Amino acid sequence: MQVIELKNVSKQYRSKPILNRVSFSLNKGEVLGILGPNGAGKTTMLKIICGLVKPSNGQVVLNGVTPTQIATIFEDQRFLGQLSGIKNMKLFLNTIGEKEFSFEKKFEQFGLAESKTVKYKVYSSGMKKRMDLMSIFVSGKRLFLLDEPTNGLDIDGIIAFNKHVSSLKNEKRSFVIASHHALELEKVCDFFLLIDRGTVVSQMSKEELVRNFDSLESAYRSLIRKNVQQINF
Amino acid sequence: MIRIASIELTKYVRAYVVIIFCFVLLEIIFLTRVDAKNLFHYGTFDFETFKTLNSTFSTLLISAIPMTIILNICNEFKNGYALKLISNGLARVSYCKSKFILSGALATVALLLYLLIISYFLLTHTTTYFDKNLLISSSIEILLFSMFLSSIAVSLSLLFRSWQYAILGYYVYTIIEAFVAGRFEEGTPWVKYLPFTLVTSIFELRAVPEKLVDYLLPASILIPFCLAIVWVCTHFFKKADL
Repeated sequence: MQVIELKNVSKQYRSKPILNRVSFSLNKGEVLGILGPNGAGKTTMLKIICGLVKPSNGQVVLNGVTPTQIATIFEDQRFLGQLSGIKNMKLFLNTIGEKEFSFEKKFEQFGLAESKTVKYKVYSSGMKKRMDLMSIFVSGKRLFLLDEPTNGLDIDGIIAFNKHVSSLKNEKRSFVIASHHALELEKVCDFFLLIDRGTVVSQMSKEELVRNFDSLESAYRSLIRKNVQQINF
Repeated sequence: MIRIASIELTKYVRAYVVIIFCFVLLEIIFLTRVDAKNLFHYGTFDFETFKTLNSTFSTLLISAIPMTIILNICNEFKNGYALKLISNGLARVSYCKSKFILSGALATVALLLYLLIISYFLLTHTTTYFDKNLLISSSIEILLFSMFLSSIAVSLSLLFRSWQYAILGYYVYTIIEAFVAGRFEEGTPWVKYLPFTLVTSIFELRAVPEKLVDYLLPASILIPFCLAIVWVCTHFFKKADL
C-alpha cells in the first residue's frame, strides 16, 4: 500500500528551478534513501512532502497518513536553547499533540540521562541530534522524513539509529532519508533515489543496486559524479 | 497541560520584564528624568502627577509587549523551533492560534504588573488624589489595548518571521503615524482617529470616554483595523514557504 506519491513535483524559487518534475512513491514499511550532491534539492523535496514548502507544480498524495502522523528532522531546526532537554521534550511533544509518557527511561536509552536537566544551548551537536532522534522515535508517527539524520552522531549513535529504523520498519512505518553518507543509506534503505540539480537521475531497489553496481557510492559516481563539476579545495 | 503552558508563558514573561526594565531605564535617563526626580523627592502626588504616572507606566507596559512578542516569535523561526513544530504535525492555524492565545495571556500579565506597580506607589506615596473609577478604566484599557497591540505584533511576526523586518514594520508605522498626527493634528479632524493615535490619546487621558456609548467609535475603528491585519498576515503565513 502506497503511503506517499509524488506526481511531477516541481519547485522554483524566483524562477530558479530547484526541483524538476520529480515523481516517486513509497509503500508502507519501506525505507527510501535519497542521495545527491549539495544543492540537488533533497531537503526541498522533504519540505514539500511535510508541507513546509508548497510545490510550484505537481502533487503530493498522502495515503493512509495524515500530516499529523509525519515526523521530521531537518538540519536547520532546533529546540529552544534556554530550556532544559526534558522541558523541551515535554513542551514539544505536548504541542504536537503526543501523549504524555515517562521521559526518564527514554533519556537513558538515548544516552542523555545525565544532561536531561541541562539547558539545550550547551548541548554538543551530537547530543542535539540525539534529542532530535528521541523526539521523533518516541512519538507514534507513521511516516519519517529525515534530512541528514546521522550528521554529528558518534558510532554508537549511528548503530542505535540503524536499530531504531529497522525495528520501526518492522512495525510498518515508512522512512524517507536524505543523506550524503552513501554507506549509511545502503545499510538501512530498501530503495534509492539519486537526484542531481532537482532531477531524478535514477530510482532503484536494493536488489537492482547489488545487481548493477558494487555499492551505492559507485552508483553515485557513475550516475551523478560525471555530471557534477570537479571540486578542488 | 497548565504546566506546559506555564513553561511557554514563563519564556515570554522573562523577556517582557527585561524589556520593560530597559524601557524604564531609557525613560528615566532620556525622557522623564525631571518628572521622576520630582516624584521621588516630594513623595506626594496630585491629579496631574497621578495622570503622568498612570500614562507613563501604562505606556511602558504596553509598548514593551510588541517588542517581546516580535523577538520571541521571530526567534522561534530563526532557530527553526517553529518549523520543527509545523513539520512534525502542528497545523499552521494551530500555531497561529497558540501565539494569539499567548499574547492574550501576556496582556493579562501586563494588567497584573500595572496593578502591582500602581498599588505599590499608592501604598508608599502620600496622595491628595485618588480616583477608583480612573484606575478601573485604565486597567481595562491596558488589558484591551495590550491585546490590540499584541495581536498586531503576533501578526507581523508571522508575516515577516524576521525580527528586523517585524520591528521595522511595527515601529516605523507607529512613528510615521505619530509624525502625521503631530504634523496635521489641528487642520485635519480625521488624524485623531488613526488607530495608534487613538490608542495613545485614550491612554494619555486626552479623550477619556465617559459613557459606554463613547467606546463605540474607538471600537469601530480599532477592532476592524486589528482584524484586518490579523486576517491578512495569517492568510499569507498559511500560504508561505517556510
